[in-house]
Formats: sequence, C-alpha cells, structure tokens
Amino acid sequence: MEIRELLGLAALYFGVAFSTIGVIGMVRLPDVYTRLHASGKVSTLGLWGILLGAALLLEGVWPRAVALAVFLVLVQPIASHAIAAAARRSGVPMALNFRDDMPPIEELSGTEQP
Amino acid sequence: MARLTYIVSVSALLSAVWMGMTARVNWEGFAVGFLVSVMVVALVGTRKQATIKPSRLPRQVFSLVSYVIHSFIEITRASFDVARRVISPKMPLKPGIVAIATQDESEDETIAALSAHAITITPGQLAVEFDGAKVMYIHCLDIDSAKTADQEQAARLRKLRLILGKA
Repeated sequence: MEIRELLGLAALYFGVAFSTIGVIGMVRLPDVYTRLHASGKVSTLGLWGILLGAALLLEGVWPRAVALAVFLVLVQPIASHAIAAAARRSGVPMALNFRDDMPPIEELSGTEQP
Repeated sequence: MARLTYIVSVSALLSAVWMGMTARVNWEGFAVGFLVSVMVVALVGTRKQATIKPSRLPRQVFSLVSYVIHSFIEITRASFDVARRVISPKMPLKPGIVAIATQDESEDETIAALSAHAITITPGQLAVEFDGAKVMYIHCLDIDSAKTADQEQAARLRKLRLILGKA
C-alpha cells in the first residue's frame, strides 16, 4: 500500500469520525443555538477531512476539492447565522440561559418588520 | 493606476477560483479565466469595498495569507473544542448571548460582516444579530470565552483594515 493511499484513508476516517461527532452533538445538545455550534463547526472540519481524503485517493480531484473547501468555509458561517437570526426573531427561547444581552428585536436598527 | 491594479488583482483571484471550479490547473485555464474576469471586473467592478494600491499590494497579500492561516488554525481549534464538549458525559456548557462592539467608527458594513464571519468560525461563538454595524450579539457555548472578546475584536479589526487597504 502506498503512503499516499494510507494518508488518504486516514484523512477519510478522520472526516467520518468528526461528522459522526457532529451528529451526536445535534442529538445531545439542548436547543437550536447550541446545536448550530455542533452542526456548523464540527461538520466543517469533518468535510475538510473527507475532501482531503478524496483529493489524495482519486486522480485529478484536488482542484475541485480545494475550491469546495474554500467555498464551504465562506458559506457555512452565513448559514449558521441565518438560522440563528431566524430562530431569535421568531422568539425561540434558549434552553440554558446564563446571560442575555440582547434587547427585543424591535429596538435594533436595520431590522424593520414589514 | 489604482483602478488598473484593482482590475488585475481581482481578476487574478477570480481566475484562481475558475481554475478550481473547472479543475483545469494550467496556463490555458488561467488565461481563459483571466480574460473573462478582466472584462467583467472592468464593466461592473466597484472599489467601494476594498482599496488596492500598487505600493501596498504586497502587504495586503501578506496579511490576507496570514489571516487565512490564522482562520484555519481557529477552525481546527473550534471543532476540537466543540467536539470535546459534546462527547464529555457532563457536557460543560454555559451558553448565553453577549453583546460585542464592532469598534469601527466608520460603521463600514463590509468590515462588520467580515468580522462576524471571523467570530462565527472562532471556538464556541456564533453571530446571532446586529444593531446596524455597531454592535454584534454573539451566542457563546461558554460565556467565559467572551471575556477577551473585545481585545480579539480589536486585533481582528486591525487585520481586516490592512487587508482591505483602509488602514
């Protein structure tokens, strides 16, 4: 077995393990906001592992893998933020709340309701 | 001159994206991407978001590269941190929403958006809502991690201004 193949398989297993942890987090964590941490960040690293594995194991895939990795890290925070803002605006409460600095949504500028 | 530098550097960046998307990493792919990018950028490109000057371009590129490497390390740390919290049987959570000032007097929306992006990829923090471009409301998995958030935001602001040529 080549060293390249070994590294590819290692990256692939790492990615799958991390994605599994992300799913465990989705099940275990108590509310929308904390679940977004698990689904977003952990799955970013998991997908990076899978992409790295694909780039090492298959021929001619690496440019697309790099493009996808960059695209993922640019877009994933936006998706997390959109879901969190939507949850907050529709008044989803936090299951565990140690501190909340945020005023009601009507008092913020730039968030006029239609 | 600044306009020409802007067109060339943005086109170089866009043709790198093009080479990645089409999986054609050679001079042919670069030339096709570059030609189309130059036409598009010359027609619709505006320099509102970033100022690129020939004298400062090397420093801007250098700070962009160091910013990308720093972000990569942060993402890895964030993932391991969240993974550790999720797996441990007791789940050490102390979540809450913390207000953080953007600290940007010009209230530039590009800088606000980019620093929100940077915050969302740092360990256990997630931008929830904005008050204009002045204040960000951040959901933290552990509110103790937000104690140093103001210094971090100041450092981030300095880097982003360097990259965008507004320093």
